[in-house]
Amino acid sequence: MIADPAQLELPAAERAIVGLTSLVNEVPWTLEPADFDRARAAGLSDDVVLHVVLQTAFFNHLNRVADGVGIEFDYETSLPPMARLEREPLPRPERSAWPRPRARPSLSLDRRPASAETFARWSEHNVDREAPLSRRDRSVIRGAVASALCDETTVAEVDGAIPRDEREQRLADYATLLTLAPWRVGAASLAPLRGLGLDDAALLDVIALGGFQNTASRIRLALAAS
Amino acid sequence: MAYIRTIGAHEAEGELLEAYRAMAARPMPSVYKAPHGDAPGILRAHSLDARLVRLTFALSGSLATDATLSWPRRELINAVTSRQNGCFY
Repeated sequence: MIADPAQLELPAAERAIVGLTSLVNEVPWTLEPADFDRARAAGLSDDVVLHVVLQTAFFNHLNRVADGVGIEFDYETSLPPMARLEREPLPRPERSAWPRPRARPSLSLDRRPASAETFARWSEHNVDREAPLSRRDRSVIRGAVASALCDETTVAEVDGAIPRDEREQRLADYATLLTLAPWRVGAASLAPLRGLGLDDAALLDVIALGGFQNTASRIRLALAAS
Repeated sequence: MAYIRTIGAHEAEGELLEAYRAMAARPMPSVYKAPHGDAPGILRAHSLDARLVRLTFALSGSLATDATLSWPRRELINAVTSRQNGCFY
């Protein structure tokens, strides 16, 4: 495992990959054309840059499902267990300072038809269902994640979806924690949701939808800024 | 022990069993073969929704099966992302 990505000694192209990955992970709302130009200047093609964005965004889902569900590490490794992160989430700007998409972004999922198709099907399964969570619940969770990532387009898509009762507030609180500080998510984080009567299938729906939206918002922000 | 129920390969059936078998048949580095012989934990984490397993890992398959990004480069991205998210898994 990498102790500090900023201290890695790498060739220029790999350093550019780490730099872009870090921006997509940590501050996707700050992405701007210059970030993509720097990656290209380091020798990365547009196809590689797009793949970096998608790989990074997708792993944000896997990390959150792994920690949200609480699975145990089950591969063989010589790595020591990682120390628990203690840091605070990075601050977010006010909504008035959230990014606006460029008129003509340079990158599109259309460059990877197979990924575009599989992403669309995954998205439909997460977004367009009535059970276990209702469509309204889904909008609340997606809105909470998108707000935590300063993703104006998705927030508008779910029409704000501000929590309007205790149930929705608990769903939003969990989705926000899963987004801002996944390293703090544990069994106790699910207790308020179990208190609503959600069974394990519904809890997976909450976690997986939160993870999905972490991927979707990062892709949306990155491609819009490219 | 996971916080919610998960379904192992030995008790999987139908669409979930098919998804597990399809994933096991994918070419992948040996380090991704869990030594316990069951489906890897990250698959089982999604297992209460068999369709979710299939659709989620269809996307991962689309990202892993072309040469645009080499396996070492993808692993670099995965490691940096997991470090920044504080996820050992």
